Parts: sequence; structure tokens; C-alpha cells
Amino acid sequence: MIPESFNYHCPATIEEAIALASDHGDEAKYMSGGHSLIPMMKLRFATPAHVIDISRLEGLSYIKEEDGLLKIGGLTTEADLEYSELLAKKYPILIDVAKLIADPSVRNKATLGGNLAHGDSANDQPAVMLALRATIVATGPEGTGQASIDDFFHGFYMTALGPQDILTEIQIPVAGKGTGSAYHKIERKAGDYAASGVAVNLQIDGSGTCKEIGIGLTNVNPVPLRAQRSEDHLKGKKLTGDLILEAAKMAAEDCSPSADLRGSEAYKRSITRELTVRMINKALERAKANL
Amino acid sequence: MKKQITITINGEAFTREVESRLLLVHFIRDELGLTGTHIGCDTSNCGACTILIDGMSVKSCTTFAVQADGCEITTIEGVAQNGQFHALQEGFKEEHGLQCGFCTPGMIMRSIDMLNKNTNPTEEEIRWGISGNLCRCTGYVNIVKAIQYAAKKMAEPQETAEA
Amino acid sequence: MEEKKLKLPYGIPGHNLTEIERVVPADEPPAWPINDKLKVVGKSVRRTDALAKVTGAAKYTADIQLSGMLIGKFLRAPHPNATIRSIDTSAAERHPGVYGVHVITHHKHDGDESGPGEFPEIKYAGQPVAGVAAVDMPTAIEAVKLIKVIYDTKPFVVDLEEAQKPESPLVYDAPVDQQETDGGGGSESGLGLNGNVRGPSRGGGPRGDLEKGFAGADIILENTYRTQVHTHSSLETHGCVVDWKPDNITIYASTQSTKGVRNEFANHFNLNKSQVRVICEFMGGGFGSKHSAGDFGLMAGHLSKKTGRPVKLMLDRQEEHISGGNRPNSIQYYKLGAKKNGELVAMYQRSHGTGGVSLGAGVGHIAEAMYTCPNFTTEQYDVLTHASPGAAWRAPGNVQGAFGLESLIDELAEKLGMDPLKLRDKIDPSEIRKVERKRGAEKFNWARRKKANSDTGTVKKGLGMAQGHWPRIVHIDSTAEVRAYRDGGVEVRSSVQDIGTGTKTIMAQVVAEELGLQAEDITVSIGDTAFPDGPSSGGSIATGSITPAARSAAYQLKLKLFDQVAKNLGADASDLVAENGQIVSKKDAAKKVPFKEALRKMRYEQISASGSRADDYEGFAYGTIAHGELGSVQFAEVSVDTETGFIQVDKIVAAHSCGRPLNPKQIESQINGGVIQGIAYALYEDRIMDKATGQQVNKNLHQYKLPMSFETPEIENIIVEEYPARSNTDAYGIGEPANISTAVAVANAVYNAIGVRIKELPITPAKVLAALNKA
Repeated sequence: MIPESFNYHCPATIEEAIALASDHGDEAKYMSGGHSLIPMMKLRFATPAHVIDISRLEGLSYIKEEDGLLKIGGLTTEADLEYSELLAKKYPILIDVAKLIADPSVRNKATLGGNLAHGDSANDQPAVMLALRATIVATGPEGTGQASIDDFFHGFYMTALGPQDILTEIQIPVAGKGTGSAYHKIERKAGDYAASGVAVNLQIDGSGTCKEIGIGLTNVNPVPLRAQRSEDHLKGKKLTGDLILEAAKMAAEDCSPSADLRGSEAYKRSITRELTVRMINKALERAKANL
Repeated sequence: MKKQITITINGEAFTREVESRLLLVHFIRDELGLTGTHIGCDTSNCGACTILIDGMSVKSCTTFAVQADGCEITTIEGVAQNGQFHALQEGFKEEHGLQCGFCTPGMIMRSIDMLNKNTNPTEEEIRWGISGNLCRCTGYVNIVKAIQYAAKKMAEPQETAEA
Repeated sequence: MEEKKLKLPYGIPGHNLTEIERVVPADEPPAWPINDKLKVVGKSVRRTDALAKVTGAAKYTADIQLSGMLIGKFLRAPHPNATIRSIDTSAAERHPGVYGVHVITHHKHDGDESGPGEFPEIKYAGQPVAGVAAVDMPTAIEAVKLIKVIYDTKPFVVDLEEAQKPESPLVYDAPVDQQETDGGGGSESGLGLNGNVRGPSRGGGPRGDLEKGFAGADIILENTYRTQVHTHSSLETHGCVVDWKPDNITIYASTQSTKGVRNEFANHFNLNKSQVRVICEFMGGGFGSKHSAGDFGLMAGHLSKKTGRPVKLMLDRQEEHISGGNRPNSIQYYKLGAKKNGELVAMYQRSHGTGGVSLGAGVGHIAEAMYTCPNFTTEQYDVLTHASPGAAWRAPGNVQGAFGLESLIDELAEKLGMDPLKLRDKIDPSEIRKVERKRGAEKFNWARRKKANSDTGTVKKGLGMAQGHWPRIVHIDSTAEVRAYRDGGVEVRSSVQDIGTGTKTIMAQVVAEELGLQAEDITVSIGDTAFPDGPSSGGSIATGSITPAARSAAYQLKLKLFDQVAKNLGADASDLVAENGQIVSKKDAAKKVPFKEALRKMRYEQISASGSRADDYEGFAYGTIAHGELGSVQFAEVSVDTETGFIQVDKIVAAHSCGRPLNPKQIESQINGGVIQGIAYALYEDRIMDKATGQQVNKNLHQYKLPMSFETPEIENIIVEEYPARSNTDAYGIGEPANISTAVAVANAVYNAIGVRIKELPITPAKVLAALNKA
């Protein structure tokens, strides 16, 4: 498996990268960790004439809290997330998800920005970011802009990013008191894409009432899906087992999985329901510990 | 489409003109003749091609050689230092952590990174840590033991030169 | 032939160990005592190849680099059924960097009905059409694309059940026979072909009276079980390097049989075997699929012959899936009659399976052989489909057969309200398995097993067990040579290859034991047909075939050395023994010389002796099948999540025997590997063919799921030491038995957990939920 020939560029600055991308137009493709792009190139499903390696752009790898936001640089690797003490303490969902992406060697290279920019609903981070109500920051020829995660995923491998835009930062509201989050997926074996994955982020008050909740679903919809009806069903209420099950059933109804090697549509709906129950409960447990 | 790159492999710097599309694993095996790094699946699933780039385990079948320009790479051939085998090499030898041996270099390279990040892993952490490295022969039992052997050995106080 | 009598240990230590007298060839070495009285044999000595493998020094076939070597690449047919109208290679031949192109013309292969055209009929998607040899891989890939082939495509069938329908497209339009290779495969010759259905093969033939048997049964069970096709997925793909020189040809091959590759290659090219040398120093797994020279080997041969340069042709992973062999699938129907007390009175088995264009999809003779059942009939059919050929895989036939049979016996136990172990105590005549059941049950704590579907939570535990049967097969054509050098070196040589199981190590152990040395004192030079012919490594044959030969050779060499030493020591050669690195007189311990010192004083620089595998002491059961068997019993503990269908195998206890254990750690490692392949078969692996296109859907390790470290349970082994007193080492292999009963033990445990039996492998979470009516 050998890719078609291409020109390799390794710009040092973001301006240089964008200029290169603008020069080569449709023939250019950004690459960070390369673990989505290179396999496609080896199969010759992707044949960019110009590959612009943005992995060496300075200052785009960080995890920090600032201005009421958790900010993660676009080039932060999944391994950086996995080993972050800040995330382990306050954003366990990001540890949950990082540990489930591919395998440790892949996570050493794969970046959060790449995972999102790829626009693949089989990837795990989109659902997590939907649950966390993230904001995506990108820089392109027209300057820097941002998009709510709800407006980010447009279709199969399509996002709000223009071809010359570089995803520079992910912003997530800082986790306040009573916040809990969790992610899990059913996979055939460790490192597989999800048969279904569910991300939940919620906040409760002292009385146990759900103040905020975000639910994102992995690989059970052509585009990464936010389970909005389920969220609405739970928001402002005390989370009882019955209520949670009702919300989970809604998530299972609202997604549209397709049958594949992982199982039938019915199977995927069934496990989506079960995972939604489990992740809400797990997030709730974490939220209670955080009151 | 050629590009000049300089990569330090096992302490020695190599400067070569390479095609952009040349995969790092082919650079290591075919250009440099270091055939201890194997190719198993070619799709980043089996880990037979695992090497260290700047100390981090990476699957060299899914990396272009040009991406490693200016980096320090360690392959299985560079793991033993000054004639001393690495504790992981010893572990795989002592604990029968291999059969056909085709996965072994990748397993060892991956485990070096794992033990650097976590000096005292649990069995579950070890199994998770090598979850991207396929062994079709051993059932992993003795591979886990080999890594445990190495972790234990690496935790022992080093003998000083004077001793 | 001169003979003598030997008293040998006989039976199972801790159970029924005794001594037996056997008549053996006069040149056989004396009997070894049981393992705990030996110094090197029976000990878990370090692998002799470990250092090469942990340093990256070990050279596999893909690592071979020869001066001027070209890279070979196949052009494969994209269609599952087609006739080639024409092939134009001119553009490929003109392509810069291409040195040679070879088109496969009609060369009669096994099972090929030799059609009228110039080119073989295309019968599966991915069948090789032509090959190129080029300066490097990118050039070879470009050149292959330049070959223009015009195909007339035809309807095809890849599905086992559809292929049996009368209106289905035919794979062969006349009866076919396929010879068994060195590693098995093939099928009984002369069977009829009806559409795509060939057979039946009736195993050893019916016994008793089926109808009468069923008439006397208290209980009759009828069931159908299904198993899938899966691919060997050895980590190193198939491939070879052929270096064709005018007078001799050297082949570096990733093979389980250097000898087999040599023979096949010599036959194909009409060469003498003496002109072909095959070398396999290290190889990255085969599991049964790597016995033959292969289409790639012959292609590399043609290209090397044509170009006058060495040619390397390694398959890539995709090619490995679509043409590297696979375990055929099966649909097995059983009707079983039993008495209330468990006694089996009648069994009828009918199976259909497809190995694609190849035969060999029978489900083995496990149902026929494992249990006492006076009235038995089997009818095993090969169904031909337009899919790539199957290949032997660890206990071919018996792994599929065990899934049917041992599910059935488990159901019988359930129906009778009997403990599955107690039922087997009643119907299984094997003494070895009886001990394995007992020791295994203790280690596993079988007593804690509850009735099916007893757990009330979401995640339910289940315990199950199953048994395996594999014959002890010996290759008589197994010779080793032992050499000793004046500098103290001792070397053992044979063409037998080490496919990773540790053959090198056990050969060193056996020779060392005989010579009173340590395993590390012995250099093992094997995997080269320049050395005396050894066995293939398949069918659990190698250990039982080559270790007695190696011991005989060492023994003969020792006698030669004793003759030389005796005079100097003033001792009688017949009084000398070699132990602890010394040659010493039994009569006078003062008369001794260090072994190495004795070598230094040799008259010649080197002495040498050969030994070949004797017949089993007092003969084989039939052919070269030994008396007794390689029985195995495995226990599985699983947790089933009844809301997600997810199955976690928590623990396997594997109780095995392989005669005299030579190196317990190596045996355990092989058992563990058999277990994980069994779990893979039970829960994960499945080759999916697209019925509409005839292509494999999941031809990579990304979509084709193999369990890895995290899916592997705790595995505990029990090795039951057993002395059949049939050869000078009494040792046998373990590769096959290790793989037979795992999948069905897991399936039986899943039943015990959820109370619903899933009769089709692999047992995926989706199937579990469907069985529970939850999806």
C-alpha cells in the first residue's frame, strides 16, 4: 500500500500554512497526526497533490483553563489528553474518550483537532464535544473565527471548516460545581470504532435537579448527533431511573444507525439506549461527588 | 517530489533524499537495512512496525519518512545500550514472551514508551498499553509477564559503576 | 532388523504410572526415566532463538535482501468467475524499471479441470493472473496496472447455502480431486460431484446400525450448528525470495515445510530435488496455511528464472486475506440418541462446508472418534464456491466439528439433568481426558457452576467446558544429524523448521540431555533443506517426529565418542555414560573426562552421526498414526452483559497432554496461543463475503477483528505428563489440541450464563441480544 506521489510541505507558522493551502487550493490537504489521512492515501482514496503538515506549528498544543473556559489547542494529542492531570480531576469524560481512541501509539500522534476536523461521525470526540457544548476556533485566510459545535458538523466528512482553515482551539465551558461527565462506547474490541458511543455531560444543583445536560452520540448517525429531545426531557428535573430510561429511549429513536459489520440497526438502537442510561448514571454519580 | 531529510536513528544521523510518499517503515527497512522493524498489517492495527520517535511509540507504517525529519528515532536494533540488553529484552527472553517473534520488536518498542510513562503498571494497564500490538501466537500471557519482569527490574536501584 | 527389549515408563504420573516392556529396534537409545529424573528435558529452559528475536537480528523472509534483487507483484483477477479472453503485457514490459512479466498459462493444478483456453479459468476474486518483477514496489504496482486483461465474466456464487441450490452457477463442471498437501487439506478421492456439492465422505465408514440405535434411545436430540470462515492472519504474510541460478535454485520461504516447498517447486519446474534448496530460518506464523510453495512461490520462480535475478514476492495484508488460506465454514446437522443414563446409542452427523474452490471442508473425525457410540454415521460434503481456497488450520476439521459435537453433548447433559463432566465420564473412553477433566475441574473450581441463567443481574456469569481430540501423527521421513567439533561445539541439523513453537529449543534440550550437556551448549541449525530431511511443522507432527530422530543421532554420536575415549580412560566403552558435562565410567567414577576435553582429543576435526525416526515402538495404530491421542479439556468462564450483548471471557483453564512434556513453558505458550485463537473463533473473527460482488468485505486488520491483549482472559494451564512408551522421547506436539475446544467451551459457558444456546459462530453481541429478544 503506497500512496500516490505528492508534495510535502512543513510550514513553521500558521500564516505560512494558510498561504500554502491557498496557493494549492483543492489539491492541498492539511495533515496533523496523519492517522486519518495517511491510511486513506495508502488506499488511494485520498490523493492530495500537496500535503501540508501542520504538526510543527508552534503554540497549538496546550490544555488550560482561562477566562472561564477550558481551552485545548488543536494540535494537542489524544495522549496529551489521556495523561492530563487537569482533565483527570475536572473533565473525566476527556480521559474516558481519549483512552478509547485507537491505541496508545496512535494516540501519541493523533490530535484532537484532527479528530474533529475529519468530520467523521465514527470518531469519538465529536459526540463528546457535542455533550460538552464546545466552541471550535479556527484560523483561515479571512482571519480567526469560531463556531458552536452544534453548527460544526455538516455531513459525511464535512464540517464548518473551509479547506484552508486550521482548527486551532477547542473551548469548553469550565466545569462548575455539580458537574459530571462520562463517555463510553461499545466496540468489538479495544481500539475499534464504536458500534455506538454515548457522551453525557450534566450539572445538578444541591437538590439533585438537572440544570444542564448535553448528550452526544457516536457512529449511529450520518453526522455526529446531539440527542436534543433526550436533553430537553431531563433538563430542569430530578433524574429518576424512569426519566433516564425515557430519555435513553428517545436517543435510540432519534439516531439513524445503519447496519454494518458491527450489527443491525435494531442492535445499534438497543445498545444506544442502554449506553445512554449507563452514561447518564455515571455522569450523575460523578456530578454528585462534585457537589 | 523528493525532499532531503536528516533523521537520527539509534544515535546515528542519516541524511537522504527521499520521496515524500516514502513511509517511515520502508525508509528504516529498505533504505537503512534495519529489518528488525516489521510490517504486519500496513493499516496501523497490528503494531509490528512500532518504533520510538523522540521517545514516543509510533506506528511507522502510518508515518511518512519526511514527517520524521530532524527527529530522533529508536528501533529495536538500538534498544540495547553498550552491550547491555534492555530490561524488556531480558524480560521477553526470560519469560518466554514470544513464539514466532514477528511481533516482538514492536511489542518491546511500545512497552518502552509505556514503562516510561508508567513505571509500575497493573496487569490491566499493561494489557491496555499493548492493545494496539497484535500477537497471533502466544495468547499474550507471557508477554504480560515479560513486561512485568522488566518493570520490576527497572524499579530496582541501579548498580553504580564503582560497585 | 535387529531388535531388543526396553523397559519404559508407562502411564500418567500421579494416576497410573507403571513400567512396560517394549520390543524396539536394536539401535534405539536406552529408555529415559520420567521427567523429574532428567536434567534438561522437561525443564522450561530459555528459548534458543530468544536473543535473535528480542534484538531484531532474526531475519524473516521479508527481511532477505540479495544483491540485484527485484520485487515481484501479482496482478489478481477482480472477478469471481470469468474466462480470460486476452492478456496484453506489452505496456508493463516497456515500463521503466520492469525486468520481467510472467503470465500464468494453463498449468494443471490440483482441482483445475484443465479448460480449453490458454489461461486458467478465474474461479475466485483475487486469483493470480500474472506477475511482474520490478526494481521496487512502487514500480511493480504501477506496472501491474498496465497489464490489460479482457475478461468474459460469468455468474458466480460465494454463499455456502446458495451454492447447494441446483440452479447455482457451477464452480467445476466435472468431478474434482485434490491431493492432500504436506500440511493436510485435500479430501478423499473419487467422490461424486452433484452441482457444487461433492461427497459424501463417510470418514472411517459407518458402524453399527443407526436405525436400531435410535429405536433404543430414551432421548433424541436434533440440532444444526454453524461455523464461519476465518483467515489465518499470520503476522508475517506468505511470501518468498527465489534466487534462480543456472545450476541451483535457492528459495527463502516463510514456510512450515522447507521440504514440502522444495518438492513442490522441483515438481513444478521439472528439476531434481537436489537442485533446489529451501531456507526458512525464522518465520512469522503459519498455523497450517504455509505448507506449500504457493502460487507466489511458483510466480517468483518464473520471474527469477526469466530475469536472472533474485525475486522477492511477499503478499500484502489484503492479499493475505483473499488468498492466504482460511478455515472453511460449516453447517452441521446432528441427530443423537441416548439412554437416560447418558449412554450414547446412535449418532448421525451430516455436514456441508466450503473451502471456496478447494476441498477439505469436512468437519474432521472428532464426532466419530471421541465418544463411545456403537451406531454412528457421518456424511461430510464439500461445497464448492467462487471463493479463495481454504487451507489447513490447527486441527483442520476438528475445530469446526468440536463446536457442533460439544455443543450437542452439552445440550444432552442439560436435557438429562446431568453434570457435563459426569456425562463425559460415562461416554468418553479416554484415560487422559478423564485425568484432565478431574485436574481441570479442581483448578477451575467447576463445583461452583450453577444452573443455566441463574444470575439475576444485568451481567450474568456462565461456566462451560468442552473437549478435544487429535491423533498423534508421525512423519517417519524425519532425520537429524548431530555433529561435534574438536573446539567443543555440538550442532544438530535438520531441514525441520521452527515456526515459532520452539522446535529449536527442544532439539537442543534432547541432544543436550543425551550428551550430558546444557541446552545452550548445542547449536541448532535447522530450516534448510541442505540438512537432512525433517518433518513439516503442522498437525502437531514435528515434535513427535524430529525429537526421537535428534535423540537417536546424539546417541549414535555419543557411542562413537565413547569408542574414542574408552581407550584413553582405560575403560570399557559400554561402561561409559555422559552426564553433567563429563564422560564417566559407571564402574569407576575416577575414570572420567570432561565432554569438551574428549572432543578436543578427537582424531578428526569433526564427527557426525545421523538418526531417523523409528516406527513407534511395536508399531503404529494405522499408517503413521500412533496409538493414543492428544486429548484436551478446556473450561471457560464468561460474563455476558444482557443489555449490550457484550461477552467478556474471564478465564480459561486448559488441561492438555502431549506425551512427555519437553519444555513446559513453551507448551504453555502454545496452549495460550491456541486458546486466544479459539476465543477469536468464538467471538470475533468472520470473513464476510459480499454476495453481490463476490469480494471479501473485511480484507484488512482494521475491519477483520482479532482479539488482542485486552480481550484475552486469564489463562491457566495444566499439562498432564503422560508416557505412552512409543518412542525414545515419547514427546508429541500441542499446536492442534490447544485450539480445538476453546470456542465451544466459551459457547457452552455463554449458554450457562443466559440460558439460550447460540448455535452459530461467532457469537457477537448482536447475536446475543437477538437471542435474548432485545434487538
